[in-house]
Amino acid sequence: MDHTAEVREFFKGLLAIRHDRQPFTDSTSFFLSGRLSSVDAVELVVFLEEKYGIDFAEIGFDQSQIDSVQAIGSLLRTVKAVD
Amino acid sequence: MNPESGEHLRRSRQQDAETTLSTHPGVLDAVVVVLEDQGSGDARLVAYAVPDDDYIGRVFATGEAERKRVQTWRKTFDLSQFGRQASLSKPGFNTAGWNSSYTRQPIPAEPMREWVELTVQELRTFHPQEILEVGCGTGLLLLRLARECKRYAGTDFSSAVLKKLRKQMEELGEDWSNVTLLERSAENFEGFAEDSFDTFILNSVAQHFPSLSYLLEVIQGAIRVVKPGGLIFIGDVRSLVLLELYAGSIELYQAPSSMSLGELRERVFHRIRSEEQLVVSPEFFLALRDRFPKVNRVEVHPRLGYFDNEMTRFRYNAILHLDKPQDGNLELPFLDCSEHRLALDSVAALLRSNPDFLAIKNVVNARIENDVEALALLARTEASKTVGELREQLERRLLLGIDPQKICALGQELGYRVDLSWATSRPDGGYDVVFRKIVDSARLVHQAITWPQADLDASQLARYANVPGLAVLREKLVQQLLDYLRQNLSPNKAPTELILLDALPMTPDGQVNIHKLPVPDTPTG
Repeated sequence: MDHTAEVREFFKGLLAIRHDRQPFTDSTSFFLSGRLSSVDAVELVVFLEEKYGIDFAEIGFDQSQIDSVQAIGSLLRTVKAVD
Repeated sequence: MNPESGEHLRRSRQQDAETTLSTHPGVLDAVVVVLEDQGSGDARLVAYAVPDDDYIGRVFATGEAERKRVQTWRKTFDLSQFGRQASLSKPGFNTAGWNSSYTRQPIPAEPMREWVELTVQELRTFHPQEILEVGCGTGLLLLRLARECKRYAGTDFSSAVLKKLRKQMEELGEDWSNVTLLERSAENFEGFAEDSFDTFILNSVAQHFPSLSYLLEVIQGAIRVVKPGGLIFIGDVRSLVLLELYAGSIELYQAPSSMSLGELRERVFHRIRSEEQLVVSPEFFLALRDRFPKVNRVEVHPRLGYFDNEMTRFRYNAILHLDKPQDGNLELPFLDCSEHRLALDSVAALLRSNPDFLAIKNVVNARIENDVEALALLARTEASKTVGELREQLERRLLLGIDPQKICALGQELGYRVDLSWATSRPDGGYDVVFRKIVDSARLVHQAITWPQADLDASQLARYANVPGLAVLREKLVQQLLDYLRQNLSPNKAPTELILLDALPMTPDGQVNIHKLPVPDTPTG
């Protein structure tokens, strides 16, 4: 599974726990729109740190960096030079 | 197959499952129904249960789950310091991570400055000399109070936050030798001797605790280390009695005008169920007097401030005085504000007659009067009406309340010390107020007022708080209940689907209205 698919799956899991069955696209905002909480953001951050070795202490953190599948894709390309 | 015997079998399966489910300690009420798939004709048993949230708190929010929530909040605070806002903040005023629930944007500097200054001002009235602050964060209080103290110990569980605080102290370049900073979680009082501080501060921290029992543990630790005559200041606590108003206020603010009230209602319920923070009723702190003999006086008052925001609307400070020498309890006759239809002008007129004291109860709180009305309208208006129509109705309302900050300013201007109280825990945020002519201000600080207050039950403290993260914890109960049904029923009798509801829908004659039960999306199992 490529990183975009993995991130999509992760969001799917977070939404499922909250009984959120609304569809989403790669540009759907999750945190800035309030659809997911700051507690969910932490779960995602831990996932990104563990899975892709991102160190937010080093690169800085802003919720907009992880707000959508697209934003995370862009973050991963910048930080990890993935395709 | 004989249809009667088929029907009988079905009823017996339903009843067995229902009886079994009802015996589970986490279930308050239950019903089991048979749903038939319209296409295939297959029947399946679906269970509906009303959960006991206290049980969920006791069973699922402890141990490992509690530790995980603490770690999650620690990480949230670490992350708040890795951003631009923290890097750009001026020494002494790092408010990174303080976001408005209304706008989801950082709270502007001026309301934050007021919030900090008023808290510091209130603490200064007690002349603290030896302070322990748990959750000192980026030092909003510490950097202002430490200079005036003999000793200031600040603890915080976030290493990133403490790193920023140390950096600010260096930048400010003063003598901070009386300050000790320790990285540790809130319940850790290791190394602090009994009766060694005169003031314990826990400001805007309790909401990040995983449970009420964790808060209780921290308060127990505080009671041990604070000396007789000292105080425990628990500031900026989110009020449980106002949680529904808060949820309604936020959702109404964010809703587009075209949204139906039915959807708005659902969003308000969802926000309450999904609340991630610990929200506590003032009654909890008042009940501590019965739990801990060392606590002999408790005050709870709404947060003050001219800025209208979620802190000044829905939060309060609780002050626990320990073994405080009493200067006689002040028992005053309270005028009922609603009965006498008092407005700010009429309160001013009463004060201008120069009484030594004036006590008024049931003051309508102008800060949240609109939110109270919005929620009442939401409850009684047809679901098909829109948010836009609700807003129009609200605009036509005549507001009668008095702003807590304005009533304080009025009293102070006329030479009175003004104290407010939320000890009655009214669900509309109404408050009581006492004006005392200032003759000896130091004496007034120590004089206890007998406030009107709600009936308390110190043996049932759990009822005075929510269970943070309840929505996710309820999922754990669903799994436990399905396992329980499988273990206690034969395979063909155990429902494979279970839905939790806040209440079972009822018919006017008191039967469960099965037509109003939600239908599960897809068959499973």
